[in-house]
Amino acid sequence: MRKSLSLAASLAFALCSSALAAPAAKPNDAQIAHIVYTADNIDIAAANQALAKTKTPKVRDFAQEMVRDHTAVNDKALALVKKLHVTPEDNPTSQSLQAAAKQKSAELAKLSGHAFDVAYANNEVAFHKTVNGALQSTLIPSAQNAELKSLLQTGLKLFQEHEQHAEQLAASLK
Amino acid sequence: MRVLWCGAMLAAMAGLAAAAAPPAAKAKPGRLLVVQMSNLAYVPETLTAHVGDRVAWVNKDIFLHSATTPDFNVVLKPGASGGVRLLKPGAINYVCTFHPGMKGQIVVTK
Repeated sequence: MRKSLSLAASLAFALCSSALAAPAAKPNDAQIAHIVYTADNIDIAAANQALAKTKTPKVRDFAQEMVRDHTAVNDKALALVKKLHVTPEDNPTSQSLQAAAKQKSAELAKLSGHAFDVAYANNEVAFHKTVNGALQSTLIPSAQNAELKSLLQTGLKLFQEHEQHAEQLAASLK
Repeated sequence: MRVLWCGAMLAAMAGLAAAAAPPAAKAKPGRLLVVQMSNLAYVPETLTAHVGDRVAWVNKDIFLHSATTPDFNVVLKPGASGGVRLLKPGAINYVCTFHPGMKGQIVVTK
């Protein structure tokens, strides 16, 4: 069981990695805003799924933190695009992220109890690692607007914290 | 007991409330030292203080943060502030329970 979960996590990671690592072209600010908003919403949805499925206090605490922090980033991002008169633009990277997240959510939906907790925590590690890699290698260097770049840098720092927290959570569930 | 006082404080630094301070704490008001929670870090990260001083954390971020040790747990919403009074010498290492990479230290001397 553990082996199959690990494989599922690896597949999701690979999907996310390819989606983010090989964009069709250097994304513009409108596309970057859409990618970040999408990534935030994916993690909020995953957290809400966890809150609906688990009773484990430390997993619930982590999920609540994800909802709270990613909502805060999204609120900030929405305020910024409004201020800049930028309309977030859907793009292949956002679409790939959503497709991979949908698949992962379906996998997690079949699990319960400790198996769900472990799979959720492992996926959180993989997801944040992937998003952090994309922020560092593509999104932050591509951002043209200084305020957007600053928000992305704050996002990177936050998501690195989440990655670390997710690693701690995953380790504690072994 | 390292910390005698811990509770909500006013957001305005100048008007810091020392409500509910016990009599022993009132006798030595000490200084007020401020640590900002900014961009997922404590600023300054290391603080030098004296026994009797008060430390106030001010959350300048858009995220919930805490300053947590086995002795106290100051949880602050964005824009909020709160603190503790330092009652004995020693090094206090604290963390944010929500963002484990956030670490700070207070070095308390007599």
